[in-house]
Amino acid sequence: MVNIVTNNKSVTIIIASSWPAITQNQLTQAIPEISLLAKTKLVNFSYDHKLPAAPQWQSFVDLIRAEAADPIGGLVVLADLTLALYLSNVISFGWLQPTLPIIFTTGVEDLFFKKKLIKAGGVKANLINAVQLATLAKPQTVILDGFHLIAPSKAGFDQRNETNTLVSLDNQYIGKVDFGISFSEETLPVQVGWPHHNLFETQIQVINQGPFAAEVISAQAKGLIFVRHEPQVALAESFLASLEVPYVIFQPTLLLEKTSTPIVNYLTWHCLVVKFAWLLAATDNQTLITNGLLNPYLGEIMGS
Amino acid sequence: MKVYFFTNEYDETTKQIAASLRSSGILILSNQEHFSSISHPADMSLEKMQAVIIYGAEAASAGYLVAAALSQKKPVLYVLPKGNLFPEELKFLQGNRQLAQLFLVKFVQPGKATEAIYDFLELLETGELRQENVSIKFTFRLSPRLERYLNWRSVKEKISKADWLRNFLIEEVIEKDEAWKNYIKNKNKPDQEGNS
Repeated sequence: MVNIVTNNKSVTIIIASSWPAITQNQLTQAIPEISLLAKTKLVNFSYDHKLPAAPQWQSFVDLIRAEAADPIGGLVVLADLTLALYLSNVISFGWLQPTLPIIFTTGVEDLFFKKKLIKAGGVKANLINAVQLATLAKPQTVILDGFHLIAPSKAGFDQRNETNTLVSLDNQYIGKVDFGISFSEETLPVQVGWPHHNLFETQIQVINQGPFAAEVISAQAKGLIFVRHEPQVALAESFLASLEVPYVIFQPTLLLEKTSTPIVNYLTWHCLVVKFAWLLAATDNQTLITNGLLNPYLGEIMGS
Repeated sequence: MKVYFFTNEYDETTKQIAASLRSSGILILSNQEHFSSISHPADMSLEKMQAVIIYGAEAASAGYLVAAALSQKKPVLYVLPKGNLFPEELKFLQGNRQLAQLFLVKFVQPGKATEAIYDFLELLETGELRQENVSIKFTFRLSPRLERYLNWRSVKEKISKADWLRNFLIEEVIEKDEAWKNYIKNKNKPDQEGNS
């Protein structure tokens, strides 16, 4: 781990939420300490929360890239936990090699309820740490939640902890907050190759796998994600072969049998949804998508 | 009391600051291991410190720590070698009444930091920099007469009984108790400057 020092740069803070927009003045009043760290500009991004694969992913990438064109040190995105998980993956895939640090952090709701404002896990500490990080980190997209810096593609909810926090599901962290911010010396791996674009398919349908899966498929769906909760209940191969759009089966548990179907248990849920939408925007070829899912663009394959 | 001591220096002044803290019974956690009097386990965070002391002219390396500490309402003493200017980045604090109450700057001659430390510790106990963190639970029984009075006073002043009692203790008892003030002052004073 390498200790880093503070300097004073400009940081743009984007608040992505379905809450009412807040002003720069309101934010400064709620968290005046930010003024010690950087000159900040505030941008509100209203999000309607129709997840997954909302049409706003594309416009969010466009917004981030437009803001990054300004001469600033870094970007901070404040959102709630779920939105931070989706949007950080959207930016990770939609902008594989960012030119500045893009720090996602959580707790936007605290600004409105005024609770947890002075606790380390609340929005106040998160935002101060995120702004600091945005002035100093390498150009990469990371999530900062509580004391941890996490690669978006590895981030998920901590099932063992009652507190609502994010963890790295493979237990590998980019850095930590501890009387300062320290980084692991490793840089997130980025493999640029096909596809290299910032588009996302919006017509993805998520279906909980069951005996009536075939009956609920939407005619508008351009891609299907079957969620398989029980490994022993498999969809018939003949049914899968009859599908007219690319599909993937998400199974959060271990595979019990070998199969030729694209079953994914090596990506987090949020990473899978975003990556699938990103691949679908480039092709509707099932083989290319299956291979693309296995390709570690960001080192996102777990257990490898 | 636990204090986080941040500095990039290792000289007579920083040694003196650490010695002054130790002689006052303060537990030190520092970015420089040789100043720490407590180990740094994984769960030892800023949240568990009662105050932060920073020494050094490199304000750039301390701005983040000041922001993090003040956001958690931890009093901060910023000790600067005499001859240095007040850091530009921190001037914002002077215009923010809420944050300024928790932030103290002292300019000291080399090797003459002891007084600044004792003044800070005294302020933590008795002055504006004291923490308003109410965390000690204390139970005692009241007579009906006392309860009637507290109920009446609480309604009259529109604050809780506990808040009224706390305010009364601070304003009418502690701040008027000269014997207590002398006790705190003597407890924090060294035999001689730098001699701990």
